[in-house]
Amino acid sequence: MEMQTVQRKKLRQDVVKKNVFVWSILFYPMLCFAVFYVYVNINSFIMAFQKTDIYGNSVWFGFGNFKTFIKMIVEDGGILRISFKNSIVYYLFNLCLEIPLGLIFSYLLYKKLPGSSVIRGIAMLPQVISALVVTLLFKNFMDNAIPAVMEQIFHKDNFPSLLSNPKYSFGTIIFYSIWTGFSSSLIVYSNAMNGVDPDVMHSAHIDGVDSMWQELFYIILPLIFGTIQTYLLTGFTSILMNAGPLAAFFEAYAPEETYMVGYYYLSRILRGNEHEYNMLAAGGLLMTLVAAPCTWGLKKLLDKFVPEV
Amino acid sequence: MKKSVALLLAGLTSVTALASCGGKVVNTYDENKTQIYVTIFNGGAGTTWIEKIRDEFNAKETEYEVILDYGKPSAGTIIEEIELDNISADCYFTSSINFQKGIYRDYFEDLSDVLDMEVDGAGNGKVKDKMKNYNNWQAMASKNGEGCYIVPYLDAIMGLVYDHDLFVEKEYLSFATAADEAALSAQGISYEEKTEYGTTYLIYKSATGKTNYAAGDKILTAGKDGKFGTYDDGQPKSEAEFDNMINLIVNGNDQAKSFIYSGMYDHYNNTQAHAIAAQYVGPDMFNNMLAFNTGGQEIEMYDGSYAAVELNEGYKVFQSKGIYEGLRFINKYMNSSSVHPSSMNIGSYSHTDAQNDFILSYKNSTGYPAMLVEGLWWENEAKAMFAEVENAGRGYGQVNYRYMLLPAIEGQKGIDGNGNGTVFTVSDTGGIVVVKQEDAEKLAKIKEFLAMTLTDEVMKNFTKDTGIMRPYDYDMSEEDLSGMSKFARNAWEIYSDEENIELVRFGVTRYAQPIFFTTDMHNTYIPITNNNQISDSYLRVLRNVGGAEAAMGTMSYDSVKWDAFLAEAKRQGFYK
Repeated sequence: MEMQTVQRKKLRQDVVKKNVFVWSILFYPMLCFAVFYVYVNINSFIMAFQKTDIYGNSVWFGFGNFKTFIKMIVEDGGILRISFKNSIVYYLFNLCLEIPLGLIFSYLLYKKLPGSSVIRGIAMLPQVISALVVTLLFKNFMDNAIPAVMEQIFHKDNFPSLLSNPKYSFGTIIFYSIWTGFSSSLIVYSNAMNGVDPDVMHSAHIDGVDSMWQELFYIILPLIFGTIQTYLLTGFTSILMNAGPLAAFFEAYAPEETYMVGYYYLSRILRGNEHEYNMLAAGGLLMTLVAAPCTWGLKKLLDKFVPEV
Repeated sequence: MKKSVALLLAGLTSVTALASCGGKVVNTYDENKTQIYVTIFNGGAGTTWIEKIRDEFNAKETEYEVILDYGKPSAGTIIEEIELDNISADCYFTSSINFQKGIYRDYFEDLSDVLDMEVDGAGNGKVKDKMKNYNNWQAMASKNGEGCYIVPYLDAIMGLVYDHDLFVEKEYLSFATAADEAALSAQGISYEEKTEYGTTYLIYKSATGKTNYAAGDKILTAGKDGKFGTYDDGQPKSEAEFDNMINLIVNGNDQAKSFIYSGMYDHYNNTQAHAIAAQYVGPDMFNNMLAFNTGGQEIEMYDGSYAAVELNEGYKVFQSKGIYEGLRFINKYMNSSSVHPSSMNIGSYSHTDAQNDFILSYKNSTGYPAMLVEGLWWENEAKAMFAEVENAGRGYGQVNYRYMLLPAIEGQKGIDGNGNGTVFTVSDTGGIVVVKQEDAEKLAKIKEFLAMTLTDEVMKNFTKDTGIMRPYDYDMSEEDLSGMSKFARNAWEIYSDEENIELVRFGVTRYAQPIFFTTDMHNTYIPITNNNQISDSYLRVLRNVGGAEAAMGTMSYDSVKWDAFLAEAKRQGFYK
């Protein structure tokens, strides 16, 4: 009996210790979640229906902020319209270029073809070097080096900066994003490929897979589809949040032609124009209303299309 | 071995820590004193001038000490810090004046009693008596017309900077001719004639009065002020003469570039559009237009008609001819292909880049930028670059930089209503604010410190050290002026010539308007749009829409938007 009581007491102590351990680990992230997600979102929800006057009083504004936001999207050529268009173009370029290129190059690395370590080294450079340094190097290269080369070697005076001149700026931003994003997809995909069981590959070859294309499309891609699915989903969810490298290059004053929705929000906050916060909150709410079901739908769609090996 | 590695790492860590502080001065505190934290704007005006006052204050005070911090906080940042209860100073010397939100929310102290102090000794007048345009300032810095929560700090004019000696050497300026001989004699200037390559010049010998010529100098034509030997000699007076000068610069042997300016902050050029607009309609009317009310007077509209504009239709001021002329002028000269190509790099070419390229342009015999669009602070701000070219005789204060006056525009009212005179806009009308204090005694000490920064002596030294003016009446002796750079002396001459020069303190009038500070009206004054979007920079819009004529049709504000602005301002208790 006494033995049982002691055992029960010990068990209880263990449970308490376990709970203390678990809660001490969970407390900080939960606090962060409560403050930075729950509170912020509730506050943002309330702000969407208010506006603030010069005395700091917030007053009920109904759907006024929503109307303003929608009007700004609908307005032909308005900055929000440009931002939405650019965000979609930016996503499509990343989707159509970065993912296929990343997969092909990762496969080449996986196959350890000649020169693959050189390619890996070159591709990894932007990841190894500090982002700040890469940004500065790229900016100087575009703003100074290329115009100087064009002038000295090709005698083309006044050659524009491909980054700062608004005519070319957005194209250059897309190029930069694909270039710097390429290395991270190279790491992720090639690691996923390395995780493929060699016995599976061996049996595939016995079953008649005899070219690299067949190996890639029929064996490797289906086996790493979970990783690709994650990439597709995270890419989709970030369409309306992505600011690209605009803030790194231009701080709060990027050329209007390069704006994306994420950067539009960021620049408004950086400029600190309080008048716009309520309208931005309403926009956030509207975008969630659109993006959340779309993301959920895409997830369902991708789940249905998991290829069979 | 391990020890040395550890030491090396420790050393590296401390170096990194120091570097990450940006070499910031680490202040020491007297535990027996109460600290007064003062943040001083670390921009073109520098900070050394206030250190002397701090030392003086700290030496005489037994219970308080001033601790200086250097930074560039804007009004928005300061207000945000107060709202987040994360304020880092008691008093701010800033380059901003848009503190209205903070004033109406009671974040700042009323400094009216500072303006009532006789800081230069009893009987020598109050601070407000020597303030430039006290009434305008008070309207902007008050709460519903009561009190004064901001004390003026800087007064930095903005314009076109050029190297006078270079312009004389290249003959971009106009030289006096025989036709000027009578006027020269009337001014007591003696000269001799000298012919070079078939052209006869008048060479300065001496004068009975003060001039800025030295014996042997070629005499230039009298500028817009009509006097020889002043700040504007040889400069173009009309737009046609201005065109001629630009043509000589761009199409002459040197194939130089007419202007250089920051692409990143190309809204610097907005100031020149405002100055031209003010010259065209007259500075007083321009101030009325900033308040969206022409005071019952008719103004010339872009379509040739005349109309008086009232606040309830205030957006109509943007359809005035003066606004068009301002936009036309900057589009014609600053959007031209003869502008330095770097200025087109709107994402990255900073004001310091433009300053450096302008300073180093002497190294190029061709293609150099002839004029820089900059504020009065630029020479002080670029001291590091000047130090690098000191051995070439082009260090700080050594080059004869001057401001080029804006030419008269056909049909302009000018500053006297008769088409004469020049307008400069003041860009940096910085302000000093004191954050709300709980301790009355400490507040009194802060005000005492503030008063110490407002004496004539301090202002004189400030201008001597930085070349920048403060918006108060104070005199500079010949001795004071002789210690300043040539550019600063030129600016002082312009600043002091109240007969021919009028300063438009754009921000002071604009920020006084409730319709502006209570609504989401854009910061940029003239609401021209590209793709329905108002830009910080007029030039960008003008470039994209294809010129001033097209831009006049893109004004963002119409009667619907304007009514909404006005209704919002009224809802908050204004204009009733």
